[in-house]
Formats: sequence, C-alpha cells, structure tokens
Amino acid sequence: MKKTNFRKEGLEKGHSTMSIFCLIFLFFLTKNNYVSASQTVADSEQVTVAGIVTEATGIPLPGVTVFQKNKTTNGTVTDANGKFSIDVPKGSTLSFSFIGFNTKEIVVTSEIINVVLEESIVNIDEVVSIGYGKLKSSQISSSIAKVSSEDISERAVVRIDQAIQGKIAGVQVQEVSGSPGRSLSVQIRGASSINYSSSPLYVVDGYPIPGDLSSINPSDIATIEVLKDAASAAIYGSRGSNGVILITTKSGKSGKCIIEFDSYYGIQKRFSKVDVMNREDYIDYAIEERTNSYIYSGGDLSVPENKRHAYKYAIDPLWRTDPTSFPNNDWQLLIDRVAPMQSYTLSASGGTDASKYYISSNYIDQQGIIINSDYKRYSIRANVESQLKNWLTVGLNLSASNSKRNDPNTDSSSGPISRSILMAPIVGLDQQTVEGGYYYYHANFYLNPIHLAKEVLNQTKSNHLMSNFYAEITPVKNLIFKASLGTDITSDKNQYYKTNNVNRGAGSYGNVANDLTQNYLSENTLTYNLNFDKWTLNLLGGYTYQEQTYEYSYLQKTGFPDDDITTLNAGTVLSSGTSTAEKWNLMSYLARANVSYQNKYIFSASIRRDGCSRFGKDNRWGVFPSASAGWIITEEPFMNTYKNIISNLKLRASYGTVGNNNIGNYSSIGLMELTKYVIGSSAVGGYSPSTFSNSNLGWEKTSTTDVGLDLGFLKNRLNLTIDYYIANTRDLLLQVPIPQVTGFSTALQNIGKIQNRGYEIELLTKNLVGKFKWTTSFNIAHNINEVKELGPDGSPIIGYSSDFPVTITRIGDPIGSYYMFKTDGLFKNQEDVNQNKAMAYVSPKPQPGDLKYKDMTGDKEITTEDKTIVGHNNPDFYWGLTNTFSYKGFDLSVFMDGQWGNKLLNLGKKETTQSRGNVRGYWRNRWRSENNPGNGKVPRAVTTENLTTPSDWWLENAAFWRVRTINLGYTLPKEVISKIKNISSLKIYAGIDNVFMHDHYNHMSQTATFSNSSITPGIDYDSGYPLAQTFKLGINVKF
Amino acid sequence: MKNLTYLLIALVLFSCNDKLDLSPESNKNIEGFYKTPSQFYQAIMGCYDGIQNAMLKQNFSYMMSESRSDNAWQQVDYDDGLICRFTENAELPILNTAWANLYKYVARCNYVLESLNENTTLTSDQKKQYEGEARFLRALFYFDLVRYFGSIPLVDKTLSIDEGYSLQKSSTEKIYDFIVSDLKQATELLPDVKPSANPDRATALAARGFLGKVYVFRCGYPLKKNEWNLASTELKATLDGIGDSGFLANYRDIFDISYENHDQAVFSIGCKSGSEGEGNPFPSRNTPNDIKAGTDSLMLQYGGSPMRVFLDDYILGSLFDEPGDKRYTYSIQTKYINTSLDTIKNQPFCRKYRSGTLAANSDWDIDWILLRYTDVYMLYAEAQYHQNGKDETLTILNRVRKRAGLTDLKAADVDTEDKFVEILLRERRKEFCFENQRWFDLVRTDKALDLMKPFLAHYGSQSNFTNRDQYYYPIPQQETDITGVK
Repeated sequence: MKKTNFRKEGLEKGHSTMSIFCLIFLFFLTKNNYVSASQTVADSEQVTVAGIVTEATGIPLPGVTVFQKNKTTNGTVTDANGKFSIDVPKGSTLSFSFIGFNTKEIVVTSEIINVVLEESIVNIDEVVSIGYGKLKSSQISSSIAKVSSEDISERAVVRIDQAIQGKIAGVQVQEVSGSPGRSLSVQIRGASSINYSSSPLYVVDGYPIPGDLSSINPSDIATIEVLKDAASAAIYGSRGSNGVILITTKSGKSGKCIIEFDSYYGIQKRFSKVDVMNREDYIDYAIEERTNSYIYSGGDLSVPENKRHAYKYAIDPLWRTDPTSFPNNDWQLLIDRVAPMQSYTLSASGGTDASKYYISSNYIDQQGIIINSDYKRYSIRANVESQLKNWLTVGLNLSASNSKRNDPNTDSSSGPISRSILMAPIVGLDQQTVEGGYYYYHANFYLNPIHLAKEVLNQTKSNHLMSNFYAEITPVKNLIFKASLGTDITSDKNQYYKTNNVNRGAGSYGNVANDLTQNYLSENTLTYNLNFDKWTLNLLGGYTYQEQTYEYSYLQKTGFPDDDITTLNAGTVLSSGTSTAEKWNLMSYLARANVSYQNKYIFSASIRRDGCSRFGKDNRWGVFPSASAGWIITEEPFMNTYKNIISNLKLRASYGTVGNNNIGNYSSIGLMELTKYVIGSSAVGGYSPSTFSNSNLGWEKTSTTDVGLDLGFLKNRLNLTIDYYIANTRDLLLQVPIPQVTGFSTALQNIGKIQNRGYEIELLTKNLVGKFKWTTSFNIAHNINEVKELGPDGSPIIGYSSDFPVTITRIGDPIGSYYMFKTDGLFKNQEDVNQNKAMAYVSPKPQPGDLKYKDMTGDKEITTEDKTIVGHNNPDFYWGLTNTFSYKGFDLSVFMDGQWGNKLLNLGKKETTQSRGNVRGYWRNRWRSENNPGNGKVPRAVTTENLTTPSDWWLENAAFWRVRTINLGYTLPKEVISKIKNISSLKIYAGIDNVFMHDHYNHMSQTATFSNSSITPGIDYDSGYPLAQTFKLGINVKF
Repeated sequence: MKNLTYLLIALVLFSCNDKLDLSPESNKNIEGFYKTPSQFYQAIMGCYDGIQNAMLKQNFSYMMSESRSDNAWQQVDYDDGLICRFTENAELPILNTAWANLYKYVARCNYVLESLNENTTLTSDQKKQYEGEARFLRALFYFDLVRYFGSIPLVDKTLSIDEGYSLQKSSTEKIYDFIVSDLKQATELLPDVKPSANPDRATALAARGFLGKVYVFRCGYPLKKNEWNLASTELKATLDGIGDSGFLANYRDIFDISYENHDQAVFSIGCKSGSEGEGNPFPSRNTPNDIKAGTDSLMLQYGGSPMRVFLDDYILGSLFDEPGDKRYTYSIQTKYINTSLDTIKNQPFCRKYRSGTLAANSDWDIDWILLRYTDVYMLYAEAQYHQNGKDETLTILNRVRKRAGLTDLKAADVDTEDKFVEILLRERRKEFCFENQRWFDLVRTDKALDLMKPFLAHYGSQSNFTNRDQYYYPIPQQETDITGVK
C-alpha cells in the first residue's frame, strides 16, 4: 500500500527563524548599552554610597532598585551579590525597592549603607488595569479580578486560556477538546446570550483583539485582569456584556538588563479512554443485538443467520464457531502515542528611566497524543517605550507569531477518535478502507481510524502580526493626551486532503482555504489627574475607531490520479471555488471619572457611546453608562482599634450597562443568497432572499448590579473577597423561530430577557509565613441562569442537535435545558409490557428489556407532552484551589479544580446500540432476560426507535474534581549562584498535569466537543480528543 | 513638534464620521433587488432552484412519497424508516424540512410576482414570461404541499412576520383551486413551444400537462369532483402539442442521456455534473452504499449511498407481477459486487437514470423528468375511461404495455370501474416505479388502505395504518409550536 507522506518540513525553518530573533535581540541589547553608557550624573557635593542589600535571613538580594528620591533619573540596581554603589548628594534620601518586599527609604549619612528589606505580607495596593488606564486596587469599587504571571506559570500550557483555568472565581474555562492548540471555552458569570457568542472580549495591551488568544505566548504575560461586572466592563460598551479580559504583556523596568531563558520538556500520554467491548464481549453482544433487531424489524427467522441483511442482521458463522480467529484490537490504543512537548523562551528586559524594553522570543512544539496531530508556534514580542522629551513619550508593542497545526479532523463526529471508539475489536488493522476491503458484516459505515488519522491532511498555518504604536503628550501638568494606532492582522491557510482510500472509494479530494483578517484601531484619549490633600480625581475622555475586514477564499479539487501530490495542481476537476469578503466598523466616545476622598470613599462613573455598522440604520448607536462606589471602612478612625485583626475592609457596590454586538456583520440587512439552476446544459446563477431585513435591530444590553466585600484579616494573612451579582440581559438578540409559511424559518429580533445571578468567593490565606511557607488560594462560583422573557408570545424555543429536539429554552428555566423523556427503568417482563405498553414512545410493540418512559402528564400514554427538563449544562458550583508550599529553595504547588451540578448530553448514544461497530462497556450489564436483567438500567441489545428517541438515557453526569497540576521547583541558593559568573538565578522545576480525576465520563473533557452553543450546550458525540497527562521538566535561568 | 502635529492630525482623520453605513460585499442586498431584467432572471432561476431541490435533490422528495408506498421498505436509520412503518409523528424532522422548504420556494415566487406588479422597466414580454414561470412553479410547490399535508395555510403574497402568525389553514379544495388558477394563467402567459425548444423551463404545454394532472387529482380523494372532461381537454392538448414523437419506442431510452431534452419530457429538471452541486443525485442515491466503485458497467466509479429506496424480492414480486416486463430489466439491478468483493444478489435496487457522465458521487449529468409524456398519456387514458372512452383507454394502456413487452389487456379486464382502477394502479406502478408517484396514486384513488394492507402485514406493521388521517402527514410540530396551527 502506498504511504502518503504529509510531513516534509523539518526544523530548517525553525533555525532560520531563531537566528532572526537572535539578531533582533542583539540589536536591542547593543542599543541599551549605549544608552546606559551615555548617561552621566553631574552634581556637586556628591558622595559615593555603597552597600549590600539583604533579606531578613541575610541572603543578598540582587536586582533591588536603588534610586535617589525625587530624582528618579539617578538610580541603579544591586548586583548578583546584592551590592550597589551610587553617587548621590549628601543628605539626600535613597529608596530601595524590590517586588515582594517593602520599600525602604534611608537618608544618606555615611558612605556605607547596608540595608535589610522586609518581605511584604500582602501587597494589596497593587496597580490594576481597568481599561484605558490603571488604578490602585484600593481605589476600585467594581468587580475586577487579577491574575499575575506567577499564578499562571506553573502549568505547561501553550495558550493563555488554559493558564487561567480554575484561577478566577466566576470565570469558567473548559477544554472543548484535548487537541493541541485548540481554543478553550471561556465564559464569565454564565451565558448571557442565547444565539450569540458568550465568550468575553479580549484586550491585549489596550487593543481589543478580534480573534482569540492563540497567537500570544503565555510567558509574555505580566498580568491578566478580568472585568466581571458591568460597571467595570462598561468602558468597553457594546462589547462588554460577556465580560472583558485585559491582558498586559511584560514591559521593561529601569535598571539592569535581565536576560531570562526558560525551557521545559514534557511527555504526554493518554489520560482519558472510553470503556468499550473487547472481542468476546463484542461478539456476544453482536449476535444478541442482530437477532433481536431482526425479530423487531419483522424478519423471517427461517432465513439462515448469515443470509440476513448484511451489516444489520446477518451473523458471521465464525462468530459462533471460531471467535478467536478474529483479532482483538484496542483501537483507541492503536491511534494514540506518547508524545513530547517542548518550549523555549528567551527574553530580555531592562532600560533606563527614559527608555524601557522587553523583548522575547518563544518556540513551542506540542505533539498530540493522537497520531498525526501537533501544534508548533514561533512568536516574538518587542515592547519598547521611550521618553523622548519631558512632555513626550512614545512606545511600540509589536508581536508576531507563526503557527502550524496538524489535526486530521481528529475530533469530528466521524473522525479517527470517534471511529477508534466505534471500530469493533474484530476488524483487522488495514480493513475498513478501500484497499483493505470492508468487513462484510459491518459494511463501510465506520472507516479505519488509523488510516483516517494517517491519510487525512488537515493543516492550518497561521501568521499573526500585532502592532500598536502610541504617543503620550503632556502639554500641561497632569494632563496626558494619548494617541495610538494599531493593527492586528491574521492570515490562515488551511490545506486539506483526503485519500480515496478513506473516502469510501468516492475519489481523493483536496481543498485549500485562505483567510485574511485585518483589524485597525485608532484611539485618542485625554487623561487628567488631580491630587489634593484629601481628594484624588482621575478623569478620562476619548474617541476610538476600529474596523475590520475579513476575506476568505476556498478551492476544492477532485479527480486526483493518485495520492502522491496533494496540492491542488494534481487534481483534475475543480469541484468548488469561492471567495467572500466582509467588513465591520465601530466608532466610540468614552468618558470616565474616578474620585477618591481621604482614600476612604471612592466613586467611579463611566459612559461609552458606540456606533456599529452591524446594527440596523434606525438603531445604530447605543449608550452604556455605569457607576460604582466603595467605602474602605478600615480607613475610618473608629476601626483603628481593630486594625490588628481586620486589616482591610471594603464595601463595594456597582451598577452598569454593557452590550453585545456579536451578531454577524450584516444581520440587519435582508440578504439574497446565490441559488443555481441548470438550463439545457449550462448552470445559471440565480438569487433568492435568505434573511429578513430589520432596520431596528439593536444591541443586546446587560445591566449588572454587583455588591462586593473585600476583607483582610491579621495583617492580610487572610484575604476574602465576596461578590454577589444580578445581571439582566434584555433586548436579547434572538434568532426567533418564525412561522415558516413566511418563507423563512428564523428572524433576528431584539426580544427576550435573561438573568444570571450568583456569587463568587475568593479566599487567599497565608497559612505559614516562616521559613516554611504555605499559602492557599481558593475560589468558587455559583451562578443561576434563568430565562425571564422570550419571543413575542413567550413560547419556548426547542434546540435541535443533529435534527433531534434535545433542549428547551423557556421562561423560568436555564437557557438550553435538556428537555426529553425521563426514563423509568425497563420493562421487566411480559406482564409489565402488557400492563404498561403505553409507556413506550413510537415503538408500537415494546418487549421486556426495552426502555420505559415516565408518564409526566398522567394521561396513561407517552406523547411529546411527557417530555420534561431532565438536567442542564450549567454547573451549580465550580471551583479552583491552589496550595503553594515553599521551604528554602524549594517550592511546591498543587492545583485542583472541579464542578458539580451539571450534565452533558452524549448524542453518540443513539448510534452505539448497533453492532455494525463496537459498543460501549455499559452494555455488559444489559438486560438479557427476566432472570438475567443486568443492572436494571441498560436495556436489551436491540436497535429500536426507543433507543433513538432522546431521553435522559443519553445524559451524562458532568461533575468532577481533579488534581490538575502538581509542580515542584528548586531555586539554587543565591550563595551558590553568586559563584557562577553571569547567572543571577537558576531554577529547575518538574510538574505533572492531569494528575488525578474523579468523574463520571471517562476522564474526558467535561465540555462537549460536538456542540456547545447557548441553546444546545454540552453536546458530545463520543468524539472528543482525549486529555493528556503531562510530565514536564524545566529550567529557568536569569542572567 | 511639527511632524508630531501632522501625525496627530493623521490619527484623528483616520476616524472620520459617516462610515457606519456598510453594505454587504459578497451578498446582494434585498433593497435594490427585483428591479432590472437581469435581476428578475436571477430571481426566477432561484425559483427553479427550488423545484430542483424540492422534487429531486432534497430527501423529502422520495422519503415522503416513494418510501411511504408499497414500493419500498425502509431501514429505521433514517427518517423514512418511520414514514414507511406509519409510525411517524409531527416531530419527525423530515416533515419540517419539507414544510419549511416548500414554503420558502413559494415565497421566492411571491417575491417575483409582487415585484413584477410594481415594475415599470421590464417589457411586457419579459413580464409575461416571468409571471408565467413564477405561477407555474408556485402551483407545483402547492401541488406537493397539498398532497403531503392536506389542508394548509395558503400564502399568495409576501408575508410579514405578524401576518405569518395570524394565517390560518385553507381547505384542500381552496388550495387546489389556487393551483388550478395559477396553472391556467401560466398556460396563457408562457411561450407555446415544444419542451425540446425550451428545455428545463416552463412552457404553456407543460402548464397544460400539469393542469390536466391536477384535474385528475381533483377527481380523486379527497375532493372527488367530476372534472374528467377538464382533465381530458388539457391532457389532450398537451399530447397534441407535443406530438406522438413524445412516446419513445423503447422504455430504456426514457432514462438515457441521449434522450435528454427530448419532447418525451414534458417538463424536466435541469442537472449538470461538475457544477458545484447542480448534478443529479438520483442514480447514486439509489445505489447500495457498499457497492465496490468501478466494478459496475454502468459507470459507478464513485460508489453509492446509504439512503435509497430499499427493495427486496417480496416487493419486486408484487411490483412486477407479470414475467417478461422490460421495465423490470431497465428499472432494477439485481446484483452487484460489494466492497468486500462478494457478489450480492439479495439486495436489488433501482437503476433508473444511470446514464451519462458523473463528476463525483451523486453528481450525474442527466436531467430528471418531472412530467413524462407517458404520464400525461396514461392520465389522459384514465380521464377518458371516466367519460365513456374505454376503447381509447385500452388502446393507450396496451401501447404502454406493448412497449414493455407485455400482452394486451382485454376489454373484459376493465369492464368495471373497480377492475379498471386496480389495473390502472398496477400499470402506473410498473411504469413509474421509484419516480415518487405511487403513494399519491394510492391516495387519490383511495386505495392506499386496502392495497397497503398485505404489504404492511408482510413486515408485521399492518396495525400501524388504519385510517385515512394517515393519507396526510401532520403539520410539523416546529410550526405548530410557533403558530398553533395543527
């Protein structure tokens, strides 16, 4: 058999890219040295002050910033031995600061100053990004969560969304699939939209990006802020209703250049596997199922077993006479592998007070645990900022990435993973292909998973370039004008090829798809800061414009003479070709005021006015206001006596309105679709209406009330944050099913109302703070989703998946609740059948062992009226727990997460009764006879309408808890490191991802792969890419 | 500083006002459409696309007709497994597919008709042409709707959403009246040319042929009108207009590519392979999924399909109850080589239209005939029978039988109406097997209950079909949920 070689590219490309990165590095490094050298300090009465900065334990601290107070241009950092030397005027004040330590100020009285810095317990007053600006965390009165790079660096991840999984209360991040490089599902505080995306807006360094996060290297991230309530997200107006995730990448700090190299190597192996039958169990089942189904279909039992309909009812005589002549293949193990992953990051950062830089490059290579799937990405970043004049600062954030993903449609509902579950163990390794032939008794329903994985090429190459140039001008004191111009350009090229061998002999075909997304952003903001004795005031006003064009082209060819050449030139028939283009734009005005009085009373208000091309002419502009207030009670004099116990107590309350504009680009316009006909011998193009026009189409608006409490006990050894919120989404953009006699099935309208309400708790405790340190961070969230109003007359919406009505969206229940028959055990015996015959649906003649349904209406028969809500996909609670321990140079972290209260729906269950493929392990406990009823839950082996009718038999419990990561690191002691030239820190680390899981669904990802929209959530088809258990070993060196 | 000023000006200018009015780049906008002659041509082609879908390409075309009849016993894997067992209910997805699509195509016609009224730029010839075609096609969509669902809402103009909610059902009679009215107008508006001169498009003759057929249906269940004379007039006019050359000498030629666009096709649906989905799926769809591609002399280099009308020896035995019928030979393939290289002999399948080239699976070049000359001929024979034209009836039926290689019927075979109907149904069943006619013939003659009984009994399902309500499908649940119309 011919081998198809899809992998021709080696690492050559990687090497050339890396060398370009190195050149960029050199360029920046040289430049920086030049700037440092040219800096001179000329002042009279100078003294040279020198000393050592140490921790309380006496260990020297390298990298501590030392500068002259009120003259920040005069500064230095301590070297690897904690030593510094600086020229300052006598009597001036020196400031020593270092992350994680309290800043110390010392008046220069002698020429030798040795400083001991104390570790800060909890630095609650960190600076937080709030969108178009920053604010001290104490000044924040809305609900914003922050994660910093240390919190997310422990896992071996290729994407940011993976990194924040389980880290923030109210942010539900779920693996849709274990496939390398695949994006995750991210939802903040429940689904607020029925038809449109519930994924949040991502803003990278101030740029609201059009796509997802795939191109961003997680190790470039400095902080991630999540704007959870409407008050904080309202500054993003029409795009804020699903919450906003602000990502800030690292930037340089003035001081010595820090070069950091980080690399890890990991081994991944299969973590989840579906329980299916082995050879003996399968043959036993197949004989039983085929006989039963034959009888059920009205078959004539006098026909010999092997002469009945081939793949449905016929029984291979060898099954009875010589079952061991068949192989006993475990197909899931045949398509998986132990796969390596590796990551290399090199970065440099530093600068002077005038110029700062952070540059990095990263190469990541993840082989998938399913053969032929992998993901590779090269990325670079340069963040530079320079103060050119005392009134002018300019900066540029530039990042580029190039990625390649191979995935032979592994997790499609007819892909190799599904087929590895459905392929019977008795099928030979090359069977079920054109060349290997099909097993007569199975026909060609399921194709060979090994060949499907090897002979389908599905390769996506992406290039991503993001740049944002800005200038900050300070024309008068405290007033900053900032203008920025940015672009975000993504291009993807997908090449697909399927051989005739795995296309049932219908011929090989190949296609190529290209897309190009170009996004431009112009922002102009004015910020005015005023600080009085008791008042601080921070004002913002701005105007932004963003537009995006999207172009797509696609070609498909058939008629390939063989599979040697898979590019389209080898195909002889052009079977499909198209190209399309789309555009949207958004124009906005925004304003915000932050006020603080005596650092006790804080108040913030913002307003944004958005106009977007996507909406109807008559409803194009929307206004999104917000207000929030906070009271820091611990700043009140009467709290002073309790300060030792309650170190921080803040009450917050906020209200705001945000929108959702994810409705597609031309939804308000009645479109014509291309429809074709043939006259004589030529195809002619026609046009027909495809959508209703609605010039009133407007925003989906979410108004959220949030009250919160921030509590710190015992000098902030224990920090607790509690939020309660009610979010009402109104004017829901609903694809309302309309009377189909109009010629249309749905129309997009602003109808309906949904409420999400719930609470979130975050707890951070420093359990031990001595030499042995132990901190615990715990978060848990609870959300209730309820539909409040719906459609013109409130009638429910039935959600269909694969043509099966499986969910209902109706007033009073969560969106997309599973709505189907409730099973009521099995018909126990003939007497039970005779008495309760009507408790079956469709099937006119139930047999003992068939599923019985519950009569919900009490009318003594099963009709569609007996369908009921049998579960939903919203977890009652989801949580994450991180414990970190450190002792001397060792640190250990254990991260757990989980959820409960939700279900998922496995559509695959409708197919897996048929013995034309393998069946799931639960069939071992099936009903066989009255005396051998199995576990009383699994029906008899037969294919009837009973089993293809949606019922809670298809539901699975999605509750789980798992130890997701254990990470152990060892940092070499400073006294050892200080002996090695040029190295300031060295850490080695090892970790395991997906350590242990307790669940009810084969350790699969608990978010379904097949469909996960609001209206049909959590639907699986037995095809999800298995999760991997990863063991990694890494090193981190700083120079 | 100066440069900086320019830069700032540039930044601000980049965002100028009045940019939010974006018109789609790759789709036509309904505002501004239905104005020019070429736009009307495109819109009419959209209506023809509807015919091609509804009568041929979409699965409901056979699942709700042929699968329902005694010409097929379907597997439970697909929707027609329930249809065939008479166990379907209003939730069956294919019912909604048929409903939504047929009304969608009706709406396409309504858009054309309404815009024509307001139009001033088209010539009167163009207007006549497009109006005739839109009425002709709309009538055909309603003809299927009324035969599938019986009493249904009548939509004769473009509807707003609110109007959609308030629309009630019209009686079967009213729907049939509407069909007749549309077809009558079409006969006057459309060009009076032979089908071969205007292939794959509506002609006045095609409109007459269908009008005659509709009258025949009006004479049957449920309206039971006596309009045989009206039927005769239209059918005769069609036959005369085409001429006897429409009656091909060999049955096999009817489904042969070399007789495409011949006058034998009173109205055919245009198909073309290699044109991105404009091919004819019928031959591949009716071929077993496990056929080994390239092993068949009839050019099946791309294999078959899992969905088809499933046949067995029992069905064929009752269908072709007389030996020597050439129609058996040219309609049925009895054996094939499967992908395991076994020769399969117990799964016969339909081989009609397997002629000409195909560019991919289900992508055949051959047109599909919606109204055959022989159909008009036999309908005419039927209409004549009911007006004391028994001799002519017998002549026509015997001519059809002779072509099939069968002996003549005697006058005594059809001397009572019951006998005639029985004979007629048997002949029509053989002549038009798998052309989606059988079920409608059974219903209009009100013989479905009787004649399906032994068939269903053979498969143990006779208790499922017991009353005339099941002559029609229920209005889909999805529509009932929205409008309350049941």
